[in-house]
Amino acid sequence: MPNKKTTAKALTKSNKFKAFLTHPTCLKLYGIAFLCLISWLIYLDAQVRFKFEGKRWALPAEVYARSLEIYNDKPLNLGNLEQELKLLNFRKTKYPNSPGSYAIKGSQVELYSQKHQSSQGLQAAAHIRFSLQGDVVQNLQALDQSKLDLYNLPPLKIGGIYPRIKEQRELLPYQSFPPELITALLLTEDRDFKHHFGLSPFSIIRAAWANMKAGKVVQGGSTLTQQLVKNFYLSRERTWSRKINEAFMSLMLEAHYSKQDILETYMNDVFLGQAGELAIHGFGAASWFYFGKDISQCELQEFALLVALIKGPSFYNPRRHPERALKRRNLILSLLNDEEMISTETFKRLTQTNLSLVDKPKQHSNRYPAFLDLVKRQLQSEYNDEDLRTEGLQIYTTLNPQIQEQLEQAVEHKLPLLEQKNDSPKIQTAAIVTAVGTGEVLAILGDKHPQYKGFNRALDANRPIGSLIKPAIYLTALMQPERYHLATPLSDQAFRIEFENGEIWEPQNFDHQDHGEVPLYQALAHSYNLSSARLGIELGIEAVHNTLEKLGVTKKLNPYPSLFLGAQALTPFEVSQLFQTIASNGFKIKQRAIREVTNAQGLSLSRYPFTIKQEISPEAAYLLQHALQEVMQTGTGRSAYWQLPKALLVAGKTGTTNENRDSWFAGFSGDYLAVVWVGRDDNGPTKLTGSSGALIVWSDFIKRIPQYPITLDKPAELEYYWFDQENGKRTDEQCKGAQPLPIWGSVDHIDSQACQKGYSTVSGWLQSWF
Amino acid sequence: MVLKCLINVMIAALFMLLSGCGSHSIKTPPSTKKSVIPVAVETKADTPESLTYPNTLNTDDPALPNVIDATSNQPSNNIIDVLLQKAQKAFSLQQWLRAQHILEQAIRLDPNESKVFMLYGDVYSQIGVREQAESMYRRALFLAEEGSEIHAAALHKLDTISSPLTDTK
Repeated sequence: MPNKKTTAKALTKSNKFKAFLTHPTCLKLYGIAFLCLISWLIYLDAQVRFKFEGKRWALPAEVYARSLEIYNDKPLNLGNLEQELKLLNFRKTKYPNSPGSYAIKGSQVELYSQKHQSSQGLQAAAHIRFSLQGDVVQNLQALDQSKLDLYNLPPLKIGGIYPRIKEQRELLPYQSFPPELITALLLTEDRDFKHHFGLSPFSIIRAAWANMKAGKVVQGGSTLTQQLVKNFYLSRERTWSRKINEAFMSLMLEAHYSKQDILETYMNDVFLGQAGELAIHGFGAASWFYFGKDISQCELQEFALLVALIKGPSFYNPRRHPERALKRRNLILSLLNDEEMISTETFKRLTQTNLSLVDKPKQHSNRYPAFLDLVKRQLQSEYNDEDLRTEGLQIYTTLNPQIQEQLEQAVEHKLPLLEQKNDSPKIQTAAIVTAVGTGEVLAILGDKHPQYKGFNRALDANRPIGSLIKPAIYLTALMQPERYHLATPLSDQAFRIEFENGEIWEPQNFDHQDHGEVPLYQALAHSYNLSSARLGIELGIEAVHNTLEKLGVTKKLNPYPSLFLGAQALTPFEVSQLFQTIASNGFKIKQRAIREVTNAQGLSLSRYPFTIKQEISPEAAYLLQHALQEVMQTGTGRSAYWQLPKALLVAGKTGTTNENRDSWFAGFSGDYLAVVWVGRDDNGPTKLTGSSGALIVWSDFIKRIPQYPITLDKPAELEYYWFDQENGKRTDEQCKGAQPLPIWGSVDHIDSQACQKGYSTVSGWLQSWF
Repeated sequence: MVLKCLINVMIAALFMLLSGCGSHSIKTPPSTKKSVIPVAVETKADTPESLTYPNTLNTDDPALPNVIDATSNQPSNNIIDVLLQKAQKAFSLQQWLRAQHILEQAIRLDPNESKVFMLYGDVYSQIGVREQAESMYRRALFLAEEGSEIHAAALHKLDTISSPLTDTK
């Protein structure tokens, strides 16, 4: 029996403790602790709601090349088609019966394309067949018997504009996830998902017991909600505080949102693999990454593999460790079989299937750096950087991967020769290709190494353009038909100008010779400096400036006569715009690299429509095009025809600057305009002229692609007459050296002459008798 | 002597008939959509002395490109007609954006089809972008064969669009 003293002591202690607990200071501390707890819970709740109801993920902008359009009579080469399909990860099979596959039997092509978004809107999956006869599409038909006039293949994804943390994700609504996938997921990761409230005490006890027995963490008791909270809101660290936060947040998530919302978010968020620097998140992106198809088109064994990867995308990486992945996939299938979700026969059959993976998709984010640079610059002037990186914009561009490939090959093929010729590896290049009729930028090269991401010479290399200025001078003259025509004799005699400050300008021809009087078109064809400078001075700097502005040059131009010999610096992109207007018969078509930008749901945000403006009369544009064809036939560009067939009528102009520091060529066929610059970054001299440098690359590129020649529609105001090639006087058709030239307006004031050098034919000689 | 003269006259007349001489002006083919300029007297291109090229390429090599015959349809008129019909339908339903989409696709497939530019001009006209409408009609006028319906229609549209707006108050 305790004595009284002890009891009293205990009572005193108890009273003291009671008194301590009820002491006003302590009560205040309780209050503070309670307030802290409430604040902390409010904070957690706000965090849960803010992220779940706001923008859940930062979605990168995705950039696409143009879609390949297939229709009857389209010129299409089988090799190019297969190259395109390979880039799009299509599988070549005997019987294309699943999306993303194709077969070729003789000239017949059968193709099963996936559902996809393009700049033309949502394209349904399609099973089509056509034949390629003589490199032309024939008998295009849909195999479901529906009418088909034209089919757009999926556009190739060429890159993205990513947030700092690079994640690839295809957001899908709950309804888009197949029920079999959801069944396999819940069975494997959280069987009690539909019934628990965010936490599963039974799972926690089971895991704790297993961990205690093992003496380390060997099993997790996390529900799917907890996994989502961990990945979505918290870090992966294994601390008690993180665990407690996770538990409270899971409860809150379940309290605020439906099971369907939580599951949808989980399925879009779960980490399932790594593609270089990009993390693959969500089943939507993973089905493309591993199987090259939409999740809706995957089969049960493929769902099982995707679910299998959740445990460890790296450890079970099916490309690197196929045996591990196969084993775990089959384990998931056995779970389905145990729960009688699939029959034993199906289970046996499915476990025998292989992983059926596609080749690891090439990430095209580095593939076309110069083109992407152009796209980003255009977008950055219209969208803020944060939106570009996080809003999931879909950007449909004009890049033609086949043209880009040919341009790269031409450079790869010819630049080493030019380096050899120049005894220097310092030679650099830049090039740009556009479509003549639309101004769409089809390909860009900013460096001799196409994958180089640094200085983009096509957009940023401001280099003197040399004789590329001359078409603008001659056009200024030809726009005045009462004063100039193609055969107008120009003086090609040396001259000098002394400026007020005492400086002397004394231009010279490339061959350091005078050529006396030469017809205007010959002066341009042979790129004579003296006659061109004289003509420019005669016309006036302001008039030539005006023409350059009309052709699309927006840069401030220098006001000195040296402008007439191309001292003005422009970038290859600016030169391309200038020649675009010439190639489009005097209609200025703004060059563009983007067709449309949509939001993640496919709603159009910005369109970049085709715009056109007639800046030069068709008559003057025709005369200039005629003269630029002469450049290629008999002038400084004639060596192009050592590589090109005569039937391919092209027009163009060479450009060379002092000491051969810059070698330029700008030229076009009926379909394509290409501008090439070759030179050195340190502005050092080379041994390359426009003809022996840039033109070599240009010709090699042009010969690689099927295209239409230039076909000029002669404006009604023009009439052809025969002229002597040397002195530019009107003469007879039968005379030796006579050439037909288009003339705008009257010819009464043009001198004519009888045949000076005899007749080109016997009939001409006979006719001369009469 | 007279006989010799007569023979000369006959031979010359024959050649004149064959070569069709008379005026200095050269008859070019009637302005078809894809007319080609008269073939110039061929001048042999000389190799510039300072340059050496690997002259191994034969321009008659069938492997070398890839020139599409300019006289063939560029491309099938069928697909352009189909797109034009679709664009017409969108136009009649006042779906301007859709019409623009289709017309731009048509321009990509054949940038030389005047009818497409005419309709594009109408679309711009309807949405009030007068400057672009005018430019499209001008392009149509440029591409259309002279004397054709499209040519006349483009001229008419240009007349209408450039005339000052009448006060409808």
